[in-house]
Order: sequence, then C-alpha cells, then structure tokens
Amino acid sequence: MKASDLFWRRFRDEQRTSAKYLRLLFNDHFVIFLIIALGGIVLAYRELLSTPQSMMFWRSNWWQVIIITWLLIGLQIGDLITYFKPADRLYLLGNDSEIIKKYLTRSVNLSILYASVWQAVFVSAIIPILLRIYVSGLLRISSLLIFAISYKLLLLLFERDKLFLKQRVQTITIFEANSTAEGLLFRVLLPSIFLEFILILTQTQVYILMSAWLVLMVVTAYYFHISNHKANSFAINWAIATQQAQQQKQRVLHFFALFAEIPNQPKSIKRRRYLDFCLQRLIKNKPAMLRLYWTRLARDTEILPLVLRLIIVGMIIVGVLQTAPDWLVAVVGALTVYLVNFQLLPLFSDTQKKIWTRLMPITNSQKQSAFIQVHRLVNYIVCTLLIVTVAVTSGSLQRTLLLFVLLIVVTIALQKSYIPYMIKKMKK
Amino acid sequence: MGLKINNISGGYAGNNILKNISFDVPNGEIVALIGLNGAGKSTTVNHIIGELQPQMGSIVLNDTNIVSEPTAFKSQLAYIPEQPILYDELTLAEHLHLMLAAHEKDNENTWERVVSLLTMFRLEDKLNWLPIHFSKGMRQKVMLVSAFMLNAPLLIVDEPFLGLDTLAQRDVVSLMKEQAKLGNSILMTTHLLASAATFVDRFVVLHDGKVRFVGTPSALAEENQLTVDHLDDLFDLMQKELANEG
Repeated sequence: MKASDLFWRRFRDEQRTSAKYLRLLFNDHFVIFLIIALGGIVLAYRELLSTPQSMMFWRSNWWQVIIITWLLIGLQIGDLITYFKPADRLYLLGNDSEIIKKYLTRSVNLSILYASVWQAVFVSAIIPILLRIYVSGLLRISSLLIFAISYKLLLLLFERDKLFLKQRVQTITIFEANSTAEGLLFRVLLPSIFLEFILILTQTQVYILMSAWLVLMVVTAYYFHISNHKANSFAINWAIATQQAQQQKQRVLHFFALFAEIPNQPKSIKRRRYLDFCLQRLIKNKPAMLRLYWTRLARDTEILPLVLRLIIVGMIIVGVLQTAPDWLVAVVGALTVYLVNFQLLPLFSDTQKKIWTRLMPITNSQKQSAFIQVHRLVNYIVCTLLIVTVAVTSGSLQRTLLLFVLLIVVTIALQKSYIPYMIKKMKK
Repeated sequence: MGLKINNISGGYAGNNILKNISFDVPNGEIVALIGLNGAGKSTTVNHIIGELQPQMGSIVLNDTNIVSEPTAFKSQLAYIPEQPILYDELTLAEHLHLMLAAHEKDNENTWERVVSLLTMFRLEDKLNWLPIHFSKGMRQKVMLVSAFMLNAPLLIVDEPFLGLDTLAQRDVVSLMKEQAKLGNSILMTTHLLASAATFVDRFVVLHDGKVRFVGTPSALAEENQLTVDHLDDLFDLMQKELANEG
C-alpha cells in the first residue's frame, strides 16, 4: 500500500471511531444539558457585554490579559495528527523517505486544517468584545486570525521536525530540546508579545507588523519545506513518532471522556490518598459491596472526574442564571442531579464485569441495594451544593425553595424507579 | 459429600463443549483435571464457579446446588484463576478485607491466618500496594492468599504453578495438602502431570469434552503403559490419538 493511501485509510478509520465516540458523547441527556448550558453561557456573555459593571472592566487594561490568555489557550489546541501506530516501528521501518514525502505531508496538511478551525473558533468568540472596544476592529480581528493560524502552522512544523532523527534534522537547534523553558518561550511568551502588539499598536503600525510577519512566514515556510532530495536524507525517529501519536490519541480520548464514558479504553486509576480519611469513615464496618463501590469510585479517573465536572458546570449555570425565571433554574438543577446519576451507572456495570464480584457470595439484591446507597449519598451532596449555590447567588427564598422541592422529587424518583430500572436493563 | 458433577453438558453460546461429564471431588481429596488444550477443562471450571450454566445435569457441593442456591454455593467456594484478576483501584489489604467481608469472615482470628499466608508468600510489607505495582507472579500470589485464607470447603485452582517461582510452587502444594487434611475438596487443572502425580489423589482425564479416565496417578500410568515419572508423555499419546481420529 502506498504511504499516502495508508494515511487516508487511517484517517477514515479514525473518523469512524470518532463518530462512534461522538454518538456516545451526544447522548439524548447530554444534548439537553448542552443546550441549557449554551443558553446559560450566551446569557452570561450578553450580560458581560452590556451591564455597566462589565463595561467599566472593558475600559481598564485587564481586557488585554483576558483576550491574550484566551487566544493562548486556543494556540495550545490542535496537535500534529500522524496516526502512527506502535507496530509502524517494525512494518514501516526502512520506508522513511516515502513516509516523510507522502504520509507526513498529508498529516501536516490535515493538522493545519483542524488547527485553523480551532483558531477561527477562538478568535470568533471574542469578536463581540473586540467590536465593543474598538470603533473599527476589522483590521485587528483579521490580524489576530492570521497571526493565530500562521503561528499555529509554525508550531506544527516544529512538532513535525521533532519526529526526525536528531542527527539528520536540519532545523533550529533550540527547538530540539523539549524543555519547559522552550514551551514557555514559544508557546506563551513570544505569541503573547505579538498579540499584545496587535491589540495596542495603531492601525498603521499593525499594517507594518503584519506585513513583516507575513514575509517572515514565507521565509520560514520555505525553510521547513521538505523537497524530495531533502526527504532522502531524513529518517524518522520511530520511538518519538509513535509516542507522539499515542499521546495525541490519548488527548482526543481524554476530551471525549470529559463528558462520556469511553468503552474499552485502558483504564487508569489515581490513589488519591487525601481521600483515605473520608473513605475509611465511609466504608468502616459496611457491607462488602458498599466498600467496593466507594473505593472504586474514590480512585476512579473517569466516573468521579466526570461527575465532579457535571456538578461544577451545574453549579455555575444555576449561579449565573440571575435573570432567568425560577423554574428554569430548578430544571437545570434537576437535570444536573439526573445526569450525575446517569453517569454513575457504569460504576455498577463495570463492577459486575469483574469475576471477583461475581464470585463473591452476595445476592443480586444486596449488590443493587449497596449501589443505590452510593447514589443516595452522592445525591445528598449534589443537591446541597446546588441549593447553597442558588441561595447564595440569588438570595431569593422563592427560587431556593422551588429548587429544593424539585430536587427532592427528582431524587426520590431516581432512587425508587429509575436506578432499579437501569440496573435491571444492564443485567439483561 | 464434597463436589458432585452429574452428567453436565454445556459450553459457550450454545456450543456443546462438555458432553455428559460426571465426576466427584470428595472431601479431603485433591483431584486434578487434565487434558489437551480445548478438551473442556476451563469450560468445566467455568460451570463449577457459576460463570456458565449447564444445559443439563447438576453441580452440587455439600448438598447445595449451584443453580438453585448460587449464593450458598459460592460461600463454600474459593477460586484461583489461571490469570490473576484484581480490582485496579483496591490495595492488597483492601482486596483481602473485601473477600473476607463477602464471606463474613472479616475478623481478627482470620486475619492471623492471612498474616501467616502473606509472610509465606513474602507479601507482608506490600499491604498498601495497588495491583499496578505488582509483578505477574506477585499478582498470582495475591490470588493464592485470597483463596487459601478462606479455608473454603471447595478450592478450585486453575493451573496453580503458572508464573510462580519454585519456592512458591512448593508452598502451594503444601497448602493444598493442608486444605485436604482439613477435609476440604480441591480441584485443580494442570499440564504438569508428573509433578501433580506426587500429591494428587486422583486424575480426571478430559478428552474432546468427555471424561476419559478417573483414577489414581498409578492407575493412569498403568492404563497408558507409562511410569508415573513419565506421565507427561500422556499428552503425546492423546495428541497422536486425536490426529488419527482427525
């Protein structure tokens, strides 16, 4: 198979896998939550642009820090996508020049495309703020966009060159060392300075700056271009290349795992010794299954962070929805509790998959009842946090009471019917 | 009394691997289940531990049927799988306490036995370790401690010597003998016939999902015109027979 065909074949395979994960991520429940969350964010963003207090903020110098930080976050997103696999080290060895010419070229092109979309999204998100600050912000907005995309292109090319064996690399020596200092310099300091110039210089100065930047870009692009002749003198450092690809893949999976459980992925755990104190009190003299569920949950790296993120997002939304009607806040609170319960369910199914669990002389009803006890305590905590958040941020007794009543109803319904039903469904 | 397997047939997803298998593991005996790969050893074990349900026949342990009383059956069972399986999130101590709690034996008396087993397998200073830090051999030792600490009426050991050093292998044999002396039944699977012949009471030979032979090591050797020391050659004979049948 040709190197270019191999890349596109892997690309298609990855698309299929990503589509599968997206289906998992955008389950019915998450879509509802997302719509409400987006509504809350848009509402909060509108308040940020229109309220007198926020206008005072935009007139200070702090807005520059916010915008630069935001764009810097954007610059960190979008890795070099190579789809290299550990077995390539064996099967593609000796075919380096072909891989560099065909495979890696497509890899860089695709990575640039993805990264450009991300940069465009990040710049677009701050356009309303920029238009508030500048009377005519078009030049600065387009300059920010051009800079973000072109700088990201450079970062990707540097990343590509790191995949080559060092003795054959014809690149800037300073980029070879993968140190924190290098990262800070090229991923934070240099782009920050440039972005600051775009924001504070006069329009004419921005014109000159951007023209100089574009000339520099052309020179750099020529420098990084790999001709057929050059490709023959390069070789891939397969250890680094496969490691980079695995890390990139893990980051993508981690993104999906932020709000959905991704099946058949290598599971990692965290000891979290700081939780031992609470855990010991929680499980002391308790039935075996209860001990098992709590300990697994406390050291889990998927379900617990997922649940915590949901709680935090839920608290933020019920907190920022100041002008929204009381019923909407109560619904968001109830939805948060429901989603937390939904995301806890894999703890039950995953525990039952272990042969240790199945071999223990414990009846199914005992296993189920222990799991519902875990839900009960988690629900108490989530409900308390949501109610306190609303009480503190709104100061409205009516709103707090409405949320309190709805959460009690939802919690009882979940424990009495939804969770037993889901457990029955999972057993089937 | 002990374990009684009566005419069981079964397998995975409707595939009838076992064909009318019957044998006993009486109290106080060590029985080795042997056979070539694919003969049905693992399938038999999976039926006994309740992972598979027989299509016909019964599995009874001290008058307790696995199908009608699965929890009571499992409370009399300790199992050491071929591949060590542990919860990634639990430390060694937590695994042991969990298993003891499940068997309602989490008390100081039992813990004394646990400590002696941990010392025997040189795990006494690793109680707070998570499985990720254990080597394969150490994981297998955790499984051994978890099973032997229960003093269960039936102990099933799937390939007991796999991944263990010589010292640990010797300890496993002495522990199995100790369990037999206590009146517990032990069923093990193995490919090391000559070694097993030195301590097992009986062999059950499985061939193509059927019980081919049940008897003492010397009877097995005699039937196949081998000496007990050369029982491992039995597999060559079975392989040739299978090739001829094919």
